[in-house]
Order: sequence, then structure tokens, then C-alpha cells
Amino acid sequence: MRKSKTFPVICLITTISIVLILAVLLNISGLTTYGVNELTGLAKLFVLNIPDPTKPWSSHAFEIVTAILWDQRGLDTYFETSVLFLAIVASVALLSYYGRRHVLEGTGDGYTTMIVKIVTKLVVPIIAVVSASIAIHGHLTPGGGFQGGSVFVVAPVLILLAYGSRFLSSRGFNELRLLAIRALSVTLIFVVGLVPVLYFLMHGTAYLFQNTYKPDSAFTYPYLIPTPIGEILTAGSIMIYNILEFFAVAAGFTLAILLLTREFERGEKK
Amino acid sequence: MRKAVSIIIYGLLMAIVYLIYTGVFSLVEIILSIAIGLIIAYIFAGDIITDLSKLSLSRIYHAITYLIKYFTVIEARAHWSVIKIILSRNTNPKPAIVRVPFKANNPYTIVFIANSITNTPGTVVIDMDENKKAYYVHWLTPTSLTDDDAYRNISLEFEKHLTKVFE
Repeated sequence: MRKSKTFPVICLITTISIVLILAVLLNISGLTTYGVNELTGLAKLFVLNIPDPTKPWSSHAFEIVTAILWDQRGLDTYFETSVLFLAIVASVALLSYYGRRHVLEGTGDGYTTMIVKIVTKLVVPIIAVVSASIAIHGHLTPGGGFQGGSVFVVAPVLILLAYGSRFLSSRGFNELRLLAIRALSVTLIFVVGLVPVLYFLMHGTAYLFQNTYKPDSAFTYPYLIPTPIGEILTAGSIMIYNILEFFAVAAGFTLAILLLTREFERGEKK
Repeated sequence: MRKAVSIIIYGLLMAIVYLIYTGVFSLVEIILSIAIGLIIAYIFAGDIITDLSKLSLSRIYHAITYLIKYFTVIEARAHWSVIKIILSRNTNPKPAIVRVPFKANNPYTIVFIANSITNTPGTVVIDMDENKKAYYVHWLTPTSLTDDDAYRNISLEFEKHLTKVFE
């Protein structure tokens, strides 16, 4: 190999020129901007109405996507959650058939070193805390129940990979309890959506999955709760839905992954 | 009693993580963070805090000084040596996998030494043997292949500091 002092300089110049050429090309081709200066009609409707408390169709939530999911199309989201619930129930029915007969001692132990185990132990609580924050602030910042629940599921996945399924079961995450949490959460979501209907039967106009008051309906969930320590913005039922959905998704996915891991562990034993 | 104290300490730590992630420091949020932190700590604190009596200010002081030294002096030195290899025309630095013994007993010490080795450029822990008490380290620029030399060059400094924190 020929040694030379100019080689690093040549490398540097090449890198910088590639970056510059790419930047110029992207700008000329118009890939860096959308070239749209105005919102379309539907977007304008949502963006202007949902976060503005003075508008009659407001949801009193600052996170517009979550507000659309749980308020404007709440019933639709409920059915999505139910479809996921049915999928989990089906996989439980398929996978737990053998689980009841064989006592499983399968563990992932012996496959992971101490490094993986200890780091998992330290990271898992942090994941749980962050996922709780994502779910609780779903009506204020990007996030929500489904997102928070999905983030939470990373924690059980790490535990299953590092310690095996028996560890998770011994910490109280057993099949029956997870299924119960999942079923209870989905039921409670529907009950919260059903409360306006009860109001409709007794007092006056209200709609299924209604969140806050509407021009022709006085029914509203409390969207701004004054407390001695400050006001809590709950955005009506959106926060309740988010928290319940968090538990539903977290328990459901954990259950599915727990059962799948058991299947894999049994495969290893044979 | 001891369990309760460890739950409270770990719960407050988790509350701080929650607050930093959320980025809002109102009173409502602080109360919420402590509640969530305590719930998480109730589930996990028993696994994470193994011996509460070892907690002392001197250990925290050693941990902070080690972190500052690690992320400034040690990291900079390791980065510089790897930058020199990258920019030199010598494309064959002759790396090797060496056995590095360790004397620590506490799992946290062992894992933090391993992570310190991996996080400095040029050395990666690829496996470890808990019974023989040795890491197997991929070393980019080995100066010697014997256990003692590898120990002195790679992990002596980390072990010296981290035994004061965890052992």
C-alpha cells in the first residue's frame, strides 16, 4: 500500500462535495418541500375546529389526530379495538390448548449472558414509565392509548427474550389475568361510549360516543377539571379512552407474545 | 420496611424519568409522576435493588466522577486512537479476540465494566463466561495477547472506578 498524506484530504473533499451535490439536487427537484401553501377544505375544518374551545364543534383536545380517532370517529375506533381483541382471543384459543396440559418449565435461561439480563432489568421500568406518559398525554401531544400500549409491550418482549416466559408468569403476568385486563378494558371503553345514550334516554339529545357538548346536545364529559393544585385538561372522554386503550393494547399484545414465546420454548425442548 | 424504602427511592427515580420525558413540571404532573413511579417501583424495585444498605453518598460521588471522566477523557482518547486508524492508509490493523479476566463479584459491576468496554471505540465485548470470570473482547489494535496485558490495557481503569461504586 502506498502511503500518502493527501489521502485523508481527498476523502474529506469527496464527502463534502457529495453532500453538497445531493442538497442542491434535492432543492432543484422540489423534493424538500411539498409545494402546498394552503390547507384543503377537510383539513381546515379539523384544524380550525378541534383545538379551539370557542367553536361549537370543539373537542377541547390539542392533539387533533387523537381527537379525530376518539371523538369524531369514536365508534369506528371502538370496532378496531374489538377486531384486535377478537384476534387475541383467537390466538389464545389456538395456542393455549396445549399449554393447559403440559406443565411448562421452558425458560430462555442459558442463552443470554448476565449483560443482557442486567441491562434488560434496568431498561424495562424506564420503558414502562415512558409508555405511561405517552398514553396519559395522548390528547395533548402526539401519542395516545394504542401508541403507549405498543411501547409498553417492548418491555415484556425484552423480558421474554432475556429471562424466558416463566419469569414473566412469576411476576403476575399470567394468561388469565392478562385476558381479564384486556376484556375489562374493552368493555369499559364501550361503557364510557354508552353513557351519552343513557343520558339520551333520560334527559334529551345525545349521541353514541359523544365527547363534549354539541350545538344540539348539552351532554358533556368534564373537559377541564378545576382542582386546588391547578386545572387538569382531560379533553372529555378522550383521556379515559386513551388510558383504557393503553391497558387493553398492553395486556393483549403481552398475552399474544407470551403464548408465542411458550410455543418457541417448547420447540427448543423437543 | 426495607422493601418500602427501596420502593420509594426507586419510585422517585422513575418519577424523575417520567418528568424529564414529559417535559412539563406543573404540580399536577409531579403528583401524577410520583404515583406512576411508585406503581412501577412496586413491580420492579425488588428485582433491581438488591442491597439497600450499600447506598451511600460516597458511592454516588464515585459514580458521578466516573461518568464525567468516562464521557470526556476516556471516550475522547479512545475515539482519537480509532480516528487515527481510520485516516491512516494502513487498512489492516490486525484485530484479535482476547480473554480479559475480571475480579468483580457484583453483577452490576461486571455488566457496567462490560458496557464501558463496549462503548469505547476499538473494543467490543462479544461474550463472557461467568464461571471462569472472563470477558471475550474483540480488540482492534492489540498490543499483547496475554490475559494480564489485556486486563491492564482494557479493563483495569474501568474496574478500579466501578468497584468503588457497586462492590
